[in-house]
Amino acid sequence: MQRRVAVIQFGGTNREYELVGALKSVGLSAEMYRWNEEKKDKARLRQYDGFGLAGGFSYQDRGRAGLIASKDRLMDTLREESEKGRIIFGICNGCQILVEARLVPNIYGYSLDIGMAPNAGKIDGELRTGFISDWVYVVHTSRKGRSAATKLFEKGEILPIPIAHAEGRFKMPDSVLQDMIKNDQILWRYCTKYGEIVESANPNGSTYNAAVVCNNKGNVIAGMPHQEAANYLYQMSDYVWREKLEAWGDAERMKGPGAWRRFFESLKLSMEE
Amino acid sequence: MLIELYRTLKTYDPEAVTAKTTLRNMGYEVWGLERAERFLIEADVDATFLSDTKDVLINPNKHYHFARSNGKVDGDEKKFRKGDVTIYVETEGDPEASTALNVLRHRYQYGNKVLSVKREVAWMLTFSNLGKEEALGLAEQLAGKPTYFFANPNFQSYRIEV
Repeated sequence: MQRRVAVIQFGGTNREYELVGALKSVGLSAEMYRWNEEKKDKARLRQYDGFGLAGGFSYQDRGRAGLIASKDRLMDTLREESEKGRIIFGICNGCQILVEARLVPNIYGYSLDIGMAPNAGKIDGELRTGFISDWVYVVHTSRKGRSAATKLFEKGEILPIPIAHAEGRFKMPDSVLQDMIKNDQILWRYCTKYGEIVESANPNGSTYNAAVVCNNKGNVIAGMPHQEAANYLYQMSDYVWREKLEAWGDAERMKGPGAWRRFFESLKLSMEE
Repeated sequence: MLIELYRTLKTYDPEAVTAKTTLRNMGYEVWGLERAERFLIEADVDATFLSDTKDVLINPNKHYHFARSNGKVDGDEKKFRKGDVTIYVETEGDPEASTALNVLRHRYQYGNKVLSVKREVAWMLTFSNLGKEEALGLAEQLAGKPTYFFANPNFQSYRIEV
């Protein structure tokens, strides 16, 4: 049976079509679900097998990124569905919403243990603030299958991925960080192209170079990089992905998988279990 | 010299309107909510500094402002004394404050004479029929535990004034 995913569309979400496309590319049925549809028909939202929160600027980042969307009653439904084991993933603004809604890290219950602070990366000792739109590298640091999104990733794999955000710095107290490390909840970390986890490879100054994290159970995944923007070969940048250079002039090959197709395949596998 | 400068929008502030609507949807009886920004500039400069540089932070077409330095007052303070309580929120690594500092130091060529720029967002709340203590208690709930609506404790701090 084909699994169904609702891609939640808040006012100001702007990466939802790419996310629907990425989910469909692996054989999932993905549908747009507007935030205010729940008021009319609450039961419908509960029929989905998974939920995706896409990137963008929900409610224009008013207050702080993700705050207003996190207080929507729809998020209470998602919280209940996550308790049943349904898969929820948030990319960029979706990550900010999941953090503010306290669905991650969910170690000590639903407490607000992480903040997505304004970018403050240090590149060559110089502070880099403001919006960043670039290709970066991340390394998979959790064990294979630790979360619903990592079933097909080996520990230590290094992949390029685009980022585009101004408030993407994971900030948490050291005690929370230590517990997240102990629980293997930090799935991907920013690194150099050779996999070195160093300050200069950390574009936004994130604590522990964290890029993607998950909740305790592994069914809620939240990260700033855009997997949906690296799902097809034609979406990849040729200076980080040699295969694209080789595919120039071959339109059919360009429609093939990009570096992050396996992310969505992993989600599909997890939904089918 | 310490310069205290407030600014607020002349039009409705969409951020304040959205915050008020959200709080009401969450069940809080917030009657009014307005928003302003407070800048604190610490600089080793003379009295002309403010008039020479205030266009960095103030656009008179869209902002009301009020500034105080060395006992001198500029602008209309009444625009910034609204509500029962005010929650001031400061964000760690605030990019607006660091950008203002850079512009004053480099584009306006004050260099290290400008020592620091700090920014706080002031949320001015009015509740219906609450006494002072109750208003303070509710403001504390909204800024801190359990809602953390106005400040995420992982990178923001707050103080409350009546």
